Amino acid sequence: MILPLSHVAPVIRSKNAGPFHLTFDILFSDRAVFRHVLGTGQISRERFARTYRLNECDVRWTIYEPALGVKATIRRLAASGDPGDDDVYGCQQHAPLLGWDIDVPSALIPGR
Amino acid sequence: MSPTTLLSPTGILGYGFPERSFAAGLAAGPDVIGCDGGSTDQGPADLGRGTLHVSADACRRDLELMITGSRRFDVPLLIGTAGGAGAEPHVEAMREIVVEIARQRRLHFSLATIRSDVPPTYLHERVDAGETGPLDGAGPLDHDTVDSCDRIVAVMGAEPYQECLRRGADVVIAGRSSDTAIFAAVPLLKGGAAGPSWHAGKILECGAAAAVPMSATDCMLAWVGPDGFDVEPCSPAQACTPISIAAHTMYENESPYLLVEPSGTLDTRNCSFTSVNSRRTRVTGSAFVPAPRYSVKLEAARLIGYRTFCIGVSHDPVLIAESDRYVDAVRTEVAARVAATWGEAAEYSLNVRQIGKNAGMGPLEPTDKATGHEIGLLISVIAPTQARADAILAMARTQALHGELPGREGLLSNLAFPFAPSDVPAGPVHVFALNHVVFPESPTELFPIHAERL
Repeated sequence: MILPLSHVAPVIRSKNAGPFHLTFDILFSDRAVFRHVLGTGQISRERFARTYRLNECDVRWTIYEPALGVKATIRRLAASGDPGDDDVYGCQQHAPLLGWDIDVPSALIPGR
Repeated sequence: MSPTTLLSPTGILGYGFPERSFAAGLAAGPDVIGCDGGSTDQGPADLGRGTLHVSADACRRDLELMITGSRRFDVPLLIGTAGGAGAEPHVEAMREIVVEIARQRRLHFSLATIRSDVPPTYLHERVDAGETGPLDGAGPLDHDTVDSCDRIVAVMGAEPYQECLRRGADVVIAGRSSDTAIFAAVPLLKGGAAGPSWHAGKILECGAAAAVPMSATDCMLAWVGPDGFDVEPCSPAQACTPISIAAHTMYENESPYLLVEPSGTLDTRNCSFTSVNSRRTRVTGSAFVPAPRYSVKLEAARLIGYRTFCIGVSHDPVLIAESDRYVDAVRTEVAARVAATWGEAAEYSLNVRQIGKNAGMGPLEPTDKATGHEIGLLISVIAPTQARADAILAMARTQALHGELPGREGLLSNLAFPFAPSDVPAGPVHVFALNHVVFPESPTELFPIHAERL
């Protein structure tokens, strides 16, 4: 079934990683769901770059299995607090990820 | 060797914490109480202005509990990045609060303060010696850049804290610091394993934020042993689970598993996170790779002008539909009026954010369409003086209020201002001016210690 990522991953957030970088975390709570979603390539550096209209080479992409998590880090377009910055803490840049369509077998989603 | 017990009362000094949780933490017999006082998260304003990130009153409340607990149980208390930005005015303000608490509570103890301000002369010398380096995306550090900074601090590691403790300090108020080093200092000093010491620090520096349900304003305990560390929140309403601790390892960092400190890198790639019981998690496999050279991160603020802003709300569907054109018209009119009043060379910048359209994400916003029934115009001017910023913002506000709209006639007033005066002088504007490291001769040379007996 198709679900938005926000229904599949309980933690989706962005934050400053220092004043010059933004870091995005997508964390799952279920190992089987995590493995399925990553294994089917539905969460990828390429999809992230496309969503934010960036070059893939500008996205630092790492998978951290102990946390069932994926992290994307990019350079900020403006440093935190610069006149052109819109989000000093860098914490409201993840919204486009919430609506990512994710195809998950119903069997993996409890209560569905 | 018995484990080293670490207690973290809260995520940021002044954010608060429950007294009952802190009492439970003290009852566990900690070897150190640590607290992070600040961050660069909130932007460069506190560093540039010398202002506190959290109020003195809130800091005093937290410090009083921490100091009395520290003295009752004779446990050293380490506060890092004091005052929010860790420069001289911040450290001095926190020191004064500590002195006042000692006097009021008739407590006698040894207080050490550690400064982290970098004299430009030192940095010029390091530039000439080739002992500086850029971080990701920055150019090499040059003399002009050093001179352009209004305030520079260096981020200290564990060594200055350890030196204070060797000299008998009971309470340490430190300037700009690695958050993790505040907590790693004591277990390392006691000969503890580096990986678990640094990793425990990473988890504890946010208070109990790594526990579930999340709370950065509650207390956390860690026990650092030779093979790993255990972590447990002090509140019975919270628990540390393997996932919650692994997830927090990733937080606020460029990499999920490589965390760079002055003396090396914490590598958590091979960590195992397991439950000891329903509320305690054990972490093993944390590794610390010493750096070939000790490197100290620099942070600096530079004043670029003064800001005045106003915010107004429009309910007009034509303005909302035509908002970009409306804003462009404001921009054009302001440029003409500024030139007519102060000449073509008058410096200023005008920024109009559209709340309800793309104010939060700016160029990253994928939707970029105002679909609501109202839109907010957040108009901000930066100019060389506050008076000039006030004056130019007034021009922008006038044009934004009375601008023409297609299909509408007569004298229009298009914005609902929530308060009078509508225009808010917002003070000096700073930017982060450095993204560099320096290679000092020793881990402590940038961090002078002043000890006093209270």
